[in-house]
Amino acid sequence: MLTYILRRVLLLIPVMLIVGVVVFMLVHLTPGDPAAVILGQNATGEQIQALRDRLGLNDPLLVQFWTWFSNALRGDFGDSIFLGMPVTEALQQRAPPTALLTTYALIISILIGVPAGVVAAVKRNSLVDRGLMLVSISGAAIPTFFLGILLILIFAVRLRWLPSGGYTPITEDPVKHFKGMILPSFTLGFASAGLLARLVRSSMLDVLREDYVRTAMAKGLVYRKVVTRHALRNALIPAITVIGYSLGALLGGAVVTETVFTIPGMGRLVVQSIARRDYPLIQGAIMIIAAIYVLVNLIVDILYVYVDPRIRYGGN
Amino acid sequence: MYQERDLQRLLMAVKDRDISRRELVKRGAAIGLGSYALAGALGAVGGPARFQARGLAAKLQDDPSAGVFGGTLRVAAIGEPPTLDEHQTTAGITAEIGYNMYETLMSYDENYRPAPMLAESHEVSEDGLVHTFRLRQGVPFHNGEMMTSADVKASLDRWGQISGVGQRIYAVTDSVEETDEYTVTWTLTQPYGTILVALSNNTQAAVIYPKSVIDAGTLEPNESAIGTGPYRMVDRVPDAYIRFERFEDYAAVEGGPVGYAGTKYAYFDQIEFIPVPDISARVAGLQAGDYHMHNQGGLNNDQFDILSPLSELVTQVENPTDWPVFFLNWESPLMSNLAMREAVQAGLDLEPLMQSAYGSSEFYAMDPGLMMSQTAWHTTAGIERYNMNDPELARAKLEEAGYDGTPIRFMSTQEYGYMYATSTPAVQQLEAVGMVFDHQVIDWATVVERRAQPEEWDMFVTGHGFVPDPSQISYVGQMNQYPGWWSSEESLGLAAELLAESDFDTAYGIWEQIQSNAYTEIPAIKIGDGATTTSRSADIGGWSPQFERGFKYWNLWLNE
Repeated sequence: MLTYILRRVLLLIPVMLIVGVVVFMLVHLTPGDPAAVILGQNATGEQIQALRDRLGLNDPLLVQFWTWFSNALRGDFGDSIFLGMPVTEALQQRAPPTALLTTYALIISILIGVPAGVVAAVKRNSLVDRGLMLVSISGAAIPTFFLGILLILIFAVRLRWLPSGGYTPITEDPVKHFKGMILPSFTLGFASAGLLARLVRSSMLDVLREDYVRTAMAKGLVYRKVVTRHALRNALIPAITVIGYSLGALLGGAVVTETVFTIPGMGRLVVQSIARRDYPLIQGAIMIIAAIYVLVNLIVDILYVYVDPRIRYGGN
Repeated sequence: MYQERDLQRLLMAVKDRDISRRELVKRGAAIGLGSYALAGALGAVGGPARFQARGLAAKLQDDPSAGVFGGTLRVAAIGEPPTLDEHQTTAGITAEIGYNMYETLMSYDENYRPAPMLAESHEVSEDGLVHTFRLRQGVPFHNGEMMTSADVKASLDRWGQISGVGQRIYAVTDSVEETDEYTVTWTLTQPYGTILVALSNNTQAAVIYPKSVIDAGTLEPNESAIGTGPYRMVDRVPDAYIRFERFEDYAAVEGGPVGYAGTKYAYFDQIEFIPVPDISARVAGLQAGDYHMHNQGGLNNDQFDILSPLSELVTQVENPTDWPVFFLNWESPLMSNLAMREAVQAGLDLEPLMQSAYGSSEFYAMDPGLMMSQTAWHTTAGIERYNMNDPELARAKLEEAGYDGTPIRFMSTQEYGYMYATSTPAVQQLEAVGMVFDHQVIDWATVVERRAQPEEWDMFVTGHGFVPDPSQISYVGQMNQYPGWWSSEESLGLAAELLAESDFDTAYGIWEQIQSNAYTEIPAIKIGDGATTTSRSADIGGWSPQFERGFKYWNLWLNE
């Protein structure tokens, strides 16, 4: 087990190297440049060239890559061109809102998705099942920006229960923080709740047909206990994979949710920095997000072992 | 101005007995007039409504010296300024946010003529070569230093190296000298008629920074945000907020507000600019009362019908401020041919383009003037070649040009909706007369990069904002340098004359000729004037009808 984990961690190095090269190339081969964005609509070509010189964007690409990559290896992603601060600091500043948003969304999607899937499986083909599945398909199908705006219109504009956007750090005012995060977390979590519900339903259905479930029932165990103790635990294995991957999807969805709800998180930072061609920031942010993605996958694989002791990795 | 227009409608309605007194008071309140003021207005009905309205609008504005101190103004901003360094960028949002914290030697009055701001007075020698600026004394910067001629010289020298206009003035500058602690003498090698206009301008403005700040940062974008303005920046979290606080030591000019110059009262304790890039989120936030207002350009006209019925908001259509324009590349093989440019001009029916971009006719105006009707410079010279919609002529011109069906590379973007909304129907119209298009819809940063390269394109769409002086029209002031590279000898000569001329009447004649040339030589095709919709909380007092160079946040207050 330990060697397996060690090997997986070592494999991260070539993965990140490849991500680094690809990101750098993509960013620098995309037309447009930060100098033009800084100078605004009416700047002349000469002004843009002068600023490019000052920003070091006219150096050969290989030189720029080497400077960036050798520094990145030491954890220094350079300074953001627009924010006037180190990339690592900008990312640190933006990480908490996104981390909290995705965590809340994940919790909401599990709290909704798993029970809904179980109930739908147990009451298979009933009206309840159909109703739940209709809702979950809608959840997966509604674009986040649409659901977000819809919720804002109902809860912020009409009822005025919750704010239409903005972000308060949890340390500053927890009540305001949670009030502000309810709509965005629900918006983001609803889609993966739908997917999760459908997945839990189908894997529950598979498990409920297994011999050991029939045996447990035959022993005279309470039905509820059979479902939660025997069936659900096994049905959750595929669900854990989906939860792991959906963390990636949530990070992606956070981009849209953060824009609609005006949350200064990493997703919005990345989108803004792409529009502004803030090269160091795009590169740094994507490296970090890629690292998170890879790590989450690793954690999911390790979790498998605990949920299902039959799974063993490596040679032994 | 807006109130003028709204009042006109109101007065007409009362005259024709369309609405009752009660209704008048209600509607008057919606355009920001108190019932006291309206009682006066009722007595005044009679005579031509247009002139009545203009006088009333001026009189009925809230008294800017009688505002209420306190509160935090929350502004939903369209995005994040690319930099807070005014010398660096032409971006409107930097200019508007910058107004709160920076000031210039001169600023615009209510008619867009230069008025002193940090300067106390200005004199020019008879030959037009020596400009002497006396500075106001006892003006503190936000960092506690007091402004002297050393700060002014350092700031002007830096601005003269970075900004386009600054570079052009410095190219004819002999010296800028500190004559004494509060006098700056600017000596030119040839007259530059628009120097005061250039110093009054707020985009890529010649703002005065402390010399110490400039010495520390040289030419790099400088985010320290230290100026002499009525509000000072206290906190900035990019993409979350920019927070200003009243600058308690602000040295206000006496004598009352004069457009963008004159007395500035800082009524708010704090102002927060919150970037809300998504327009639906901005609208919802205004409806929900989360923001008091948006910044300039924050709404599009589609929102007018949603917001105008709400009594807690004041929503109105303002004067035009933007004109979409297609540039033609004089250095591309296709468009260097005059007959080809004439074919494009003749083949376009411009009104459907404006409808597509701005909606109903309330929101746009068809006007050939490159200087807008709010300015004294407005002229209809060249009108016979504006909005021609003559497909026959277009076909004939194509033939004359020997057009062989080479695709015309037309760059557009969806990042600014009106650009895509005008370029798309234009392509259809021109294809109908026999042109072939490669309509490239790309992101804005790419358009900006490619348009600087003559071999990359034939046409691109952009927008031009309201400018107070023709020298500030991108392709007039920088005629053969701006992408498109308008380089007829006659027009270049006229542009040089215009820049040097300081007598308005003479300059106006030159300007008429330049605009007329713009329609016969065709460096670009103006589509039409787009109006702006604004919406703000009814609690805001002191709203000024002058907004074209960005909203003013001083002299505003909250009545809550």
